[in-house]
Amino acid sequence: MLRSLKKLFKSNYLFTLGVIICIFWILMAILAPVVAPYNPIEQGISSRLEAPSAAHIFGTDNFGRDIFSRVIYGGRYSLLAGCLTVIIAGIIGTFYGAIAGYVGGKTDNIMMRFSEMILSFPSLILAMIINAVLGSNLFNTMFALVIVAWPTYARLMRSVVLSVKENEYVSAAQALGASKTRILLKEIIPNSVQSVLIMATTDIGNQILMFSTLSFLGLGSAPPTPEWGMMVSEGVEYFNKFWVAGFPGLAIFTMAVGANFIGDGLRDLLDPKLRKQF
Amino acid sequence: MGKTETILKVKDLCVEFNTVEGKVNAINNLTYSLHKGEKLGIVGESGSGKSVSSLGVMGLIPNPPGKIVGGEIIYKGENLIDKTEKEMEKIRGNEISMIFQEPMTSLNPIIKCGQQIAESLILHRGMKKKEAMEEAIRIMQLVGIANPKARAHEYPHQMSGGMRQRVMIAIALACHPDILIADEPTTALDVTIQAQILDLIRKMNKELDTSVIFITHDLGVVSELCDTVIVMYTGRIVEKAPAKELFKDPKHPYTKGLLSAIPRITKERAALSTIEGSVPNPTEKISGCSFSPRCPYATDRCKNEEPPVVKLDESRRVKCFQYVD
Repeated sequence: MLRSLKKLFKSNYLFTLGVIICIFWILMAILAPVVAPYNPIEQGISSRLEAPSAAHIFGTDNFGRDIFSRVIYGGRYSLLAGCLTVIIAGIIGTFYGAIAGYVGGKTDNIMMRFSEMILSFPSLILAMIINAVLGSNLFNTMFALVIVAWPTYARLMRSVVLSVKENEYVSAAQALGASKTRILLKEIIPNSVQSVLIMATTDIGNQILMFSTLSFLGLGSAPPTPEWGMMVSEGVEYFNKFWVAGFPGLAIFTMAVGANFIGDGLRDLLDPKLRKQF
Repeated sequence: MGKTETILKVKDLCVEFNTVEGKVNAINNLTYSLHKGEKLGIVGESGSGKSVSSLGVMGLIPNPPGKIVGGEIIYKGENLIDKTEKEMEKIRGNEISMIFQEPMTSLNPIIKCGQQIAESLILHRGMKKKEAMEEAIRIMQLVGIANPKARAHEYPHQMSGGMRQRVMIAIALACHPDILIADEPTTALDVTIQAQILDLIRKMNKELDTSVIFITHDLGVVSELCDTVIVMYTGRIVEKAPAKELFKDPKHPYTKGLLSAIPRITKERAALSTIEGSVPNPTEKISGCSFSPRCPYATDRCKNEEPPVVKLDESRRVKCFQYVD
């Protein structure tokens, strides 16, 4: 595993790039108080909408706040929202799909129809509705994203479980006296979870985008919070001052692309059938 | 063999499968008993019901489509068919164990071999993890795995087929079961490894006094290993005999056909004889003896009436009109 990861680093430049980008943003988010030159919510009326300069390398916004510092702090929210959403949705989806696929029959039918009910809504609109009903804050936005995201994982997991459960080691485990729960936890899920992991890595980028989109639309985090999507939305008003919306936008873009590169690389590593030649 | 106690008694077992083409009687009135320490061979062609009969004993017939529709399986004085799933889980792997045909796929690929053996001990014997691991290594040694300490920490894909089958046997025997059901355990292995695995099963049978039900279509293996042989055809037992007698003097026309189809090293080279026709489609109903369409001795009576089971002597049974009175 480690050796193949090393090989992956060598052969797949995009994966390496993705890892570098993600590590960069994660470090930035963790070390924000050390790296950021200014307080992200400190306003300065005299220094409104200043162009990038040595003092403010990304310029300042309409309240005179340092955009560079805000982008660095903003990473905390975007990364947290993206990763937590994926982790929670992934866990829910994994167990839901595994149970549906393993038990099969009527249970499977009912469980899958329920998840399809959620999938039948356009995801962004459903997330917006949930958010609007519950009131918008960081927690509710993540909750909405999880609600929208888990059925995809459940469906993927179910389809893998359907084939994994036919393996002889599952019947062997049964013949050795393992209970259904035990087989599910020890045999089925560990042998099927791989594809969910691959999807989850790719999905982090999407969830960051979704979160930013919701923030951009005014749902999600509340104003003084330095959140990337919201910063873009505030900056749109000043379209002749490119740096206000441009830098947070660039941050969203690089983070999403980086996460996708990692996801692609992992897929190539774990699923040789889809492996591309580089 | 008749002196020792009977530990498993299967009586009039009937298993049905619901298929698209209708009901299939996979097993019809299967009756046999297994003694302590006995090695019982069940032989038959594909589809003769040999695997289903063993799955029935384990309570593992996939339901739906399969269903036990009649008969009893008496183990230690209790009918296994009446047991709940929970009670069966306690018996499986602990008192009745099973090894499968495909050693390449019957181990969980992501759990280390030693741990897979230990699992069974933790599950059934309530051992602590460390204790179970030590016992697992001891069992690995017992089944002839060299350097078991290192091997215990390897994954199944790092082992060869023969090694994996040894691990399977180790798992199955970890809890010292009373009965080991081996469903074609050597089919996927090459001949030298086959011989080693057979030796191992024989050794385990002797040392642990485990009764073995050995399911195979390989008559050579049966003659080498088993005490008693059951020959199955279309879900029925057509002949039961001590292994030596069966090979020396087969009674049922089907058994005769099977044995004459084996190439012998002592005979002149000649075209191998075969049994005409093939196993009937299980959905089609055959009146009378199910072997009659292929039987060279078939009479009108065979085609209309189901032959009775004839008791030839204490240990031999044959289901054929030829031996009536």
